[in-house]
Formats: sequence, structure tokens, C-alpha cells
Amino acid sequence: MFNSIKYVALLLLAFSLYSCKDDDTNPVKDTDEVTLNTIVNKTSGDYTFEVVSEDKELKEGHSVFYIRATDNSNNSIAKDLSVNLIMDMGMMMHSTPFMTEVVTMNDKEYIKVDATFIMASAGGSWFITLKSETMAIDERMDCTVIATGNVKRFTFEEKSYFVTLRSLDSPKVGMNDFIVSIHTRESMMIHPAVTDLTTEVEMLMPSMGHGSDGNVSPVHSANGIYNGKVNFNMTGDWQITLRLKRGDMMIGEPIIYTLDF
Amino acid sequence: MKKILTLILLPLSLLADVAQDSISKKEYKSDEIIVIDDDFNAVQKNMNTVLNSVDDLLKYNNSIDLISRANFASEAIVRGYDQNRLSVTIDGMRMFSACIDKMDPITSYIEIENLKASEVSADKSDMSHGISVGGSMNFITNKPLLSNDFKIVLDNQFSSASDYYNSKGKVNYSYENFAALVSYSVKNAGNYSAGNSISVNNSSFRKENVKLNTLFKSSENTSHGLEYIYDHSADIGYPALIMDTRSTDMNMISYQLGMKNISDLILSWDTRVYYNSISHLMDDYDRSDEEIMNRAVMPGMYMPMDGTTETMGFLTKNKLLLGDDILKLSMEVFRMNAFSDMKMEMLETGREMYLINLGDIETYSGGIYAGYFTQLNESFLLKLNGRIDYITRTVNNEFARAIAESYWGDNYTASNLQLNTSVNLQKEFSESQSTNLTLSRVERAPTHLESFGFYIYNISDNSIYIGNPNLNKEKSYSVNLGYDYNVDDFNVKLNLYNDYIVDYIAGLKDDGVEVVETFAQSFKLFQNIGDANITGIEASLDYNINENFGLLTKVKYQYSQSLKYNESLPFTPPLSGLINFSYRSDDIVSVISAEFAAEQNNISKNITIEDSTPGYVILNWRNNYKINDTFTVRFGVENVFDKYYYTHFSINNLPNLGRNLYLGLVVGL
Repeated sequence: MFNSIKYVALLLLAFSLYSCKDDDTNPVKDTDEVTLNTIVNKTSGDYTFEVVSEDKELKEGHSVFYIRATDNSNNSIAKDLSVNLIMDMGMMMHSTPFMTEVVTMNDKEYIKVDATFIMASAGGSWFITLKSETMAIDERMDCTVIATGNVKRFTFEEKSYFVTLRSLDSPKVGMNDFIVSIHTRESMMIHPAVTDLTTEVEMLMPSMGHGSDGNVSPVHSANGIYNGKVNFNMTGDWQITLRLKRGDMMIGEPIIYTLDF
Repeated sequence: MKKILTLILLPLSLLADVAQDSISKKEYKSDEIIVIDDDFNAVQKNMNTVLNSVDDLLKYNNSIDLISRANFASEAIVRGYDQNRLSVTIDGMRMFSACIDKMDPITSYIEIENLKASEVSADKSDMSHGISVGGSMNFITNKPLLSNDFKIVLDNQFSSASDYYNSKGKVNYSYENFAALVSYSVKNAGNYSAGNSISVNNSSFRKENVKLNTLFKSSENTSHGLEYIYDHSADIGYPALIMDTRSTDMNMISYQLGMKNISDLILSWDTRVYYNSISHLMDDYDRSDEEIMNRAVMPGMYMPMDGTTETMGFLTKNKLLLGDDILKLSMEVFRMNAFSDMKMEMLETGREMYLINLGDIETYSGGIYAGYFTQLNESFLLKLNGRIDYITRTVNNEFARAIAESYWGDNYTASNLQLNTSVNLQKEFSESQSTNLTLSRVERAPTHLESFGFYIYNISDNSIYIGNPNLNKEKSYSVNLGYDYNVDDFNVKLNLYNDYIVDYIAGLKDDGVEVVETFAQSFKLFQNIGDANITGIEASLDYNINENFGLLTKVKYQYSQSLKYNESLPFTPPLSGLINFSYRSDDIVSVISAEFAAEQNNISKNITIEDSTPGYVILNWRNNYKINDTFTVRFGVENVFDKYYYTHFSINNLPNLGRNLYLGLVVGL
């Protein structure tokens, strides 16, 4: 399943090549300008809502997108809205870890959503809710979250854990950032960050039978994000094994990521 | 007084004035210089005419041993020092092996018909062509003769042990101030038989070599030489290794400007510019699937490996006469680029992995040498040598930088200043007796492999080596005591030496890399592993019993020790030597030769993994018969008793050739 990382990587590579091409044809392009792709666009009464992202789609795992909300005079109402991300699985609904802040980009105000989608749309359907009591807004926007395989889920002592790979979209030879975020589930709507774990990373090339030197096991920095490094000292197939510990206690089974590049 | 000086300096003048006919016709009984070629005098009554290859010839230097990988060219090691610790040059020009697995020593790119002489400075008393911890080895190539003549020598030989056919020849043409020399060699060998008639599969090879050389004398004292050598070999089987050489290509070209007698002060001035490139391709495509799937090293995949080096340089040297003293000055600069990579192609999945072993490592080096020779009094001669080299290496390739980032960080450049000095004092007791003492301090920068090699497999210790840009220079403090007794028919030479080496460079186990249980190799990082000491003795006796019969005996022994590990250094030669009994007449040279080596139990266990090597004695019978002025026959039997043996330097104890009958015809026109 995680071989799909390769395809995502290829896709991203294709994007980056494409954007390089853009750069070539328009060398004076403003570097502050962010190219945003529209994912959902909806007009409801006096208000218009647009979900945009630098990516073309929302992705399982770490995904950043922006919500532009305007009234009929094209004034931003971003500051007045509260956002939630909900998955409807028919029998039940749940949220996913995310953070929001209001930002200005390309001279426009947006709600930036830094989300970790813990599953792809295939398991149900994702929607974004936008609410404002004062403005009587209760909007639901359906969206698709594509599968990446970046989220590993396991249960330990009756608690669900979600380990999200936030790097290695386009692995390169040499040292690469190895960043994961770890969340747990308090309730269907609350997914707090797990900040008290230690990790161990182990690299292996299954075809060769050896790993690499200089790997750094991820260490917690903030908001459940753990930063480390992995070293690919040749191209080929690689396997990353990540062990999570609380003190001396292993939390769940080792998580294995495989890549081929 | 002048006479003594001239006599002792004769080897040096041979280097400077190699095109001079008078000197080259002399036979040199020097440990330092072995004259190989006698300029078309095909029936020279010289031992060397009965030898068949560069390898055979190098054995006659009492400091040299040979590392053999198969039936192909061997690597010469001097007093146990391999090519990493020697300055190996061809006419002073630098050349660097392209194969990271050491399958292409420099000697594999030159043929015996390319060479006039080899000179080895094991005691480090000559630094004119560069110097390293183990000394220097320079090969002097043949030059065209201005004899106003047209000469051809064709030499064809067949050898039985490997169905080996060697055709070689050379043509010298000269007209007035112009001369040209063309030589070629074609070799074709099948699988060889080791002793006890054991056939060694996958040991065949093909090799071709051609050399073109022109000489133009624009004035009495000025000459211009242009030289080109092309060497190609293909399908070299390495039974002791997991892969074979598919092809090698070497091109070298040089221009030489030689000036003599420029003024009362400047005796000679030689300048040379050169370029050479080597491409070396190895793979295991010819190995069976069964072998690939079941081997201990990287099973289940093909591993084609490509290596190239490119070297260009400039060197100039002159000889000055300061009163009765001689001052030699030389300067050289060269640039070398080395690249090597490998693919790993999984047989079953078709999956491919890729690795760069040498990421376009660019080396710049510049050196200045000064040698001062003075006669202190009737019996003392003093030789002072000083040499400074600056050497800097950089990894250019981004991919290579990335793969080794965890080891090297941002450290992609290594620079070193090498300061080398030696003092040689010679004392003449009488016409027949002399001694000499050489003291030297020599240092070497780490090689490009030691600094920036990555994942280089060494079959000797089944380890994968990683370079280290932070290595210290390796330093040696040496003393060499020589004794020479020489009366008309009797010559004894004795050398005692001790080298104390500081910061010896070797690979030490590195546990930073995770491996699966079945992974059979260990990872090693090049490191300075402390001090080492080498003590040795070399003795030779050359006795012309009468006009026809002669006896030559050479014996050497060496004891080496890593002080940290309290064990021998790798490649420590055992007690070994040879005894030649020769008969010479006008038409016949016949030599019965016994080569022997004692058991070697002084072995390295930590630095590399060696095993004890049993001793052996083999007997050779070699002959040269001059039928007439045109035809000469060369024939003989090597390893007469078909002894199964291998040397201490053999990789994976691969045996040497068994009984080998050979027959050659030399035609001189």
C-alpha cells in the first residue's frame, strides 16, 4: 500500500517539473505569489466560499488548504467563521486533527487549515463545515481526500493512535527529513497531539540486506510533530522502521514504510 | 674523484638521457634499475631475454613482490607496500587506476615491449618522480633510435598452461634527424591450469597494446618526442572474484622536449606535457544464475561497475652542475579526475539500485623537488633530497556528496602539504666495497579512495569501505643501510631497513549501519590506526663462476607490525627468494631457476583478514637459442614439477600457474 508514496512522489515530481517550466516561460514571476488551485467553490445566499490549495487535491495525511469566504460586497468574513472537518461514515461521524488561523495571501484573507486527514474519502465522505452564529452560516462543503497511505493507525491499550508521515513525498539520495505527527483519539471529535513519545528509526534496503548511517530518530518538537532524518545512500528500495516508545514501553508494533526510487 | 661521482650517478644519467645509446647497452646490476630492453639487440646475453612478461621481470628486483588476481597483470608491491603507498609513474608521468577493486594496477596498461627499464627507489633516496611512504617506482619507456636504419623485431610465443598466445613486435625507422618506433602486442589466453593440472575456470583474457613514438632532433642538443600508447583488454575472467572485467581502455599521449648541454651550468632540461585516460568496466553478466543467487556477497543481483580516471600534467626537470656538485631540480603539476559507479540489478524483480563510489573526485597536485649531490672527500658521497607536494581533492558530483553526507557532512575537500626529505651517505671503503646509509622522512596524503571512496568492496577482508576526508597524512621515518661488495665476478649486495610509520591508514569496522542477520560483509571506515613498524633484509649474490656459468641468489625477509593491534600488516612478504643457475655461450642462454617462499604465519587479522600461506619451491627452466642473426628461439618450462601453490599475496588463495611449456620465435630484421 505504501508503495503508493512512489506514485505520489512521481506526481509531485511531475508538478515540480511543470512549475519549473512555468518559471522558464515567465522568469519575472513574483515569488510571493502563491499558485492556488480551487478544490471546492460554492455560493450560498449572500456568501461565497472557496476552498483552495497549493496542491490539486486534499490528501490523506498532512494536507494544508485555505478557505476564502466573502460576502456579497466581496469582503472577507474569514474571522467570523469556525471550521470543522468531518467524515461521514454512515453509522458514525468523526473529525480529524487540524489547526486553523487566518492568513493573508496574494492580498486576500484566507482561513488556513493545517489538517491531518486520518483517512481517505474511500472510507466515507469528508466535508468541511463552516459556522457562524452571528451571521447564521451553517455551511457544509463536500470534498474528496485522496489516499496516500501516509497515515498508519493502530490501537494500543484501547486507544487509537494515528501516525502521519509528513515528509518523503519526493525522497532524494542522501539525508532526507523524516517527519511524522502522532495523534490519538479522545473522542470522535477530539484528536489531541501525542507529545511524550520517544522514537527509534531503523533503515534497511531489503534487496541489499543493509541500512545506512547517520539516521536521526524523530524527536518531538511541537503539536505532535516529530522531526528526524533518514539517509538513503543509494537509489533502490528502502524500508524505514519506526518504533514508538513511552519510557521503555513499546507503543504498538513497529511501523514500516517502504519506498522505491 | 670525479670518476666516482660519475659512476654513482650513472643510474640518474640513464633517466635523464635515456635516448643515449651508450648507456642503454650496459647491463645494470643495480637493485634500483633493471634494464629491460636492449634496443633491438635480440640476442643480448642477459637474463632478461629469457623472461616473458613485466611480471617476470619485476620479480628480479629484490624489493618487489607481485599481487596476482588471476592470469592477468599483477600489481607490484615494494617491501610490502602496495600501489596506494607507492609513487608509480611512467617516464615520470602520473597515471591512476580506474577500477576501485584494484583490478587494474598501472603495470597492467604497459607491456614489456613498451619498456626500456624500471627503476625502484625502495630506500627513498630518489624523489625526482614523486615519493610515497613505500618509495617510488618509475617505468622508462622505449624511445626511437636515431640509427639511420630500419629495424623490425617480431616475437611470437605460445604457452601451454593457458593456451596463451602472444604476438608482439616493434619497428624502428629513422632518417636523418627523425626516428619513429611502433610496437604492438596481442595476447590471447584461455583458462589456465594451476599445479597438479587443476583447471581454473573463467580465467581467460584478451589484450592488445600499441605504442607509437616519434623523435625529432631539431638541433644537436634539442629533441622533441611524441608518444602515444593505447591499451585495450577484454573479457578478463577473475575466478577469485564475483565479477569479471568486460573491457578496459587506456589512452596516453605525451610530448617531450629534451635539451642537453644548455650551458656550463645546465646539463639537461627535460619538459613533458601529458594526458591519459582509463576506462574500466566490470560486470558479472557471464556468471550463472545459480552463482549469482547463492554467492555470499550481494546475492541475487548483477552489479556492473564502471570506473574512469583522467589525468593531465606537466613536468619539467633539469640537472645543474655547480662546480663538482650536481643539483637536480624538478617541478610537476597534474590534475586527475576519478569517477566510478555501480548498478545493482535484481535478477528476480528487475528492480535497480544505483550508487556512485567515486563522485568525480578532482585532484590537483603540484610538487617541487631538489636533489643535491656532492662528494665530501675521496670516500664519502652525500645525496640530499627534498620534495614538497601540495595536493587537494574535491568531490564534484552532487549525487556522490549526498550519498555520503552522513559521513562527510559538508567536508568535500581534503588538502595536504607533503614534506619529504632524505639524506643518503655513501662511503667507499675500497674499489670493491661500499656502504650507504639513507635516512628519510616521507609522508603521503590519503589516496582519493581513502578520502572520498564510498561503499568500495574489498574481497580480501569481505568488507565495504567508506572514505574519510579527515584522515591525517601517513608518515614514515626510515633508515636503510646498504652494503655492496663487487669484484670482477662476484657481487654481494645487502640491504637492511626499518620503516617506522605514523598514522598508518587502514579500514576499521564501523557499526553505524544496520544490517540483516544474513548480511555477510562488514562496513569499514578508513582511519589512522596508530603506528606501525617494518623491518627487513634483502640480500643478493651474483657470481660468475666462469665464462659460461653463473649463479644468482636473492633472498629477502620482512617483519611488520601494527603497534596498536600487535599483528602483521597486510601483504607482509614471507622469507622468499630465488636461485638462478645459468649457462651462457655465444648462441645460448639457459637458466635454471628456483623460486621459493617460506610459510607465512605473520598475518593480519584485524586490519584485513589474511590466512597463513604454505611455503613452496618451484623450478623454471628458460632458454634462449640464437639460430642465426635473424632467428632466435625462446623456449622453456615454468613450474617444471607442476607444483600447486599460491603466494601470500594471492586473492582468495587463487593458485598460480602450473607447469607451463612455452615456445617463442623472435625474428629480427
